Amino acid sequence: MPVEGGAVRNGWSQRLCVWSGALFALLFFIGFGVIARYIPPPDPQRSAADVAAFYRDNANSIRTGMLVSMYALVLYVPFVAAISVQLKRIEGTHTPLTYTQLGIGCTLPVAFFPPLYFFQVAAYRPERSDDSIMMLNDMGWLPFTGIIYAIFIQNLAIGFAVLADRRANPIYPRWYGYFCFWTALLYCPAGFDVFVKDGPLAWDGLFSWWLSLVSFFAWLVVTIMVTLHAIAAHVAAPDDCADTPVAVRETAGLFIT
Amino acid sequence: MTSTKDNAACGPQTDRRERSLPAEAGLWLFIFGDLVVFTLLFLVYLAYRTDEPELFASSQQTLSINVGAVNTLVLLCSSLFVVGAVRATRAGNRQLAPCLVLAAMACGFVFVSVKVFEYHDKLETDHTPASNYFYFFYFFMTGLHLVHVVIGLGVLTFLWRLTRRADELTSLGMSSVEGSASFWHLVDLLWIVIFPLLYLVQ
Repeated sequence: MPVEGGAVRNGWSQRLCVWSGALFALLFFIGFGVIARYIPPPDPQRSAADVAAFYRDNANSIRTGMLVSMYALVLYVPFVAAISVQLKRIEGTHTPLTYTQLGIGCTLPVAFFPPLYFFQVAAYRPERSDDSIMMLNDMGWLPFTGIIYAIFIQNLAIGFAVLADRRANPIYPRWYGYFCFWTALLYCPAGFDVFVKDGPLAWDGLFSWWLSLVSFFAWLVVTIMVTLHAIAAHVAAPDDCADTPVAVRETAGLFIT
Repeated sequence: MTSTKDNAACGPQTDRRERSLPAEAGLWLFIFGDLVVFTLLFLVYLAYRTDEPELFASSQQTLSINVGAVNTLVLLCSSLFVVGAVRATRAGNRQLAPCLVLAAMACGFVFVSVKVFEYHDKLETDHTPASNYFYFFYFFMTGLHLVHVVIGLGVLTFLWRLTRRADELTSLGMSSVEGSASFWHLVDLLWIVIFPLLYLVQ
């Protein structure tokens, strides 16, 4: 077993990174929902005049809200790193799923910056024509609701890694693996928001916006809980849950054959 | 749910759990979660249907009940094959079990092919998800179900690999067999609700 420094032994840096995920959600909600008032999303069928009026009347709160939201987005990355540390313990020396999860997780802020900056551009010169503002608004909302592609694979990668754990006492509980598969599936309808302007798949619809939002939030809360638990177990008994499985399950499970 | 042979082979961590459910408990989280989402979808569909009953009824006429019925039959057969495969696996029959899984997979491929032809036919006659809310839900529900069928075919491939070692499976191996079979039954169950909802209900 490799020599572990103090930070690993008491796990404070890992816990800090996990709580960074909670801070991400909180700050993002404050910026996007409370300050900019983008939750619930506006109706895609609003007239151009109404859309433009929204940006003219709320330019400063939109600017501030998006600024806070973008700081929040970056805080997702330490959270992803904390998950990766646990996945690495599962995978051992060769860690393709850990790298997949880490790489994809880091794309989340990058994916959401452009939509938020389109909202910023619309609020920057709200005296623009109604049509231009509506286009910027569409450019923001379509990807904002629709970009689920990366997080879909991120959840699958975590799910596969969790179910491949060969320990008798797995690092993540096995139900968490199935939970990740379920949330991955719930994101899928959101990508279809480009086809419709109203109904359950529109960017403010039940199956695109609300289902994705609720499942992402549920995934975030559950992931924070199980990751903190895994860190606590590792810190309490580093030998019992060493990075190479001591007690290997002899029996097959899903993905363990 | 498992035979005594399996219990003898399982490790200490599986002795602890009460095996009252087939498969791992975690899988049922996924299955019930999935059922919740589909139930929500069915309720939303019915809500939209009550808003425009005539439009939904007339659009429904353009669907072929025969094609839907054939697919229902195909999926029911596949579920029967899977039940047979699980029984053969429990009996340790490594010849019969994989054959039954392959038969179930063949049914799955027939289902997908029929669905693709049906979609093609609908799109040819200008019935798209954008046509009206009936067609929107038709494509959304059957599409989401089709994704499940495709995932299910992957799961059946995994099941096929397991059944080839039917006589040497441990308790958790058996639990994976049951889990895979349960997922396929879920796919079947969803279709059994979708078929009457879209094709039959007047």
